[in-house]
Amino acid sequence: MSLFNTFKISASGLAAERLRMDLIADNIANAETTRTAQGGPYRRKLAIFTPYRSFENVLRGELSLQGVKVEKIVEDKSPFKLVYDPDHPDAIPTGPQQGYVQMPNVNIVEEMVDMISATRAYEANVTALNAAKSMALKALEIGRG
Amino acid sequence: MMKIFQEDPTFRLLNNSLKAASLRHNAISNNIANVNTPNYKRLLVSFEDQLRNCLMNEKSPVKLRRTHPRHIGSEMEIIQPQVIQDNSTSLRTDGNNVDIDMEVALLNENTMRYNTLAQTMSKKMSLLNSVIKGGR
Repeated sequence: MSLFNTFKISASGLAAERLRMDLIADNIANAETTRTAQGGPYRRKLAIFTPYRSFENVLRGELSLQGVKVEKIVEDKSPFKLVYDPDHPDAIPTGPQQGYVQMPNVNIVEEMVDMISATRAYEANVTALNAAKSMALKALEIGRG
Repeated sequence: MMKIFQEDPTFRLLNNSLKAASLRHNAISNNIANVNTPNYKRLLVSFEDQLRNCLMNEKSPVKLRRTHPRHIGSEMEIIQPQVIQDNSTSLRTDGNNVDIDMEVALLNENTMRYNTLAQTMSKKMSLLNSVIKGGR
């Protein structure tokens, strides 16, 4: 069913952008987190998108029209920020960086820009979904006289 | 009776054009869904230009077979909408060449085209209806 496939494509875009938004919210919420279950400060998370291709599509070498999917969520490997704060319980006790605290590699400005981008992309998907709906309603009018 | 639907060139052409518009909507939705996917190349649907070439060029591989010089060819349904990948250069650093403004403009254009075609189909149906009812 081509019609419902259209809705599925837009829905996949909406879901992907919403997930990106969730990750941005998580990054901002944890911008000052110095302790995690894995040890060390929080690392910025980001989603990797890929066009959805079924096994059949790849086998036949054809182009797929099935939307987007989130391949995986990865952690940003860039170095942590160092803030001098010797009284902090997580401050580095010895060595050349003594007294410094490793802070998450989250840049609030970058997150804000990503957030705007995710919002706009979400809105574009909503527009596509509404257009599909109006087209479907128009198609139902065929033959009504 | 069924020949009205099967052999009428208007119905066939409208049918194929509606199919093309529907497929194009899928392609545009797909482009919009993948607007943030690295290395994604936009997809587009070619139909109207093929149809135009077919109608303009007498020597085209898709020949119009006619039983009367004033008939519109009945072979037109050979032209099927095709999905093409646009591999032209990207203006973005992530290798993606989807331009969201252009996609939304195309989306609106395509919706209007679809609505026009559906309306035309509707009118054609009401003409038939009028014939069936004997003009009453």
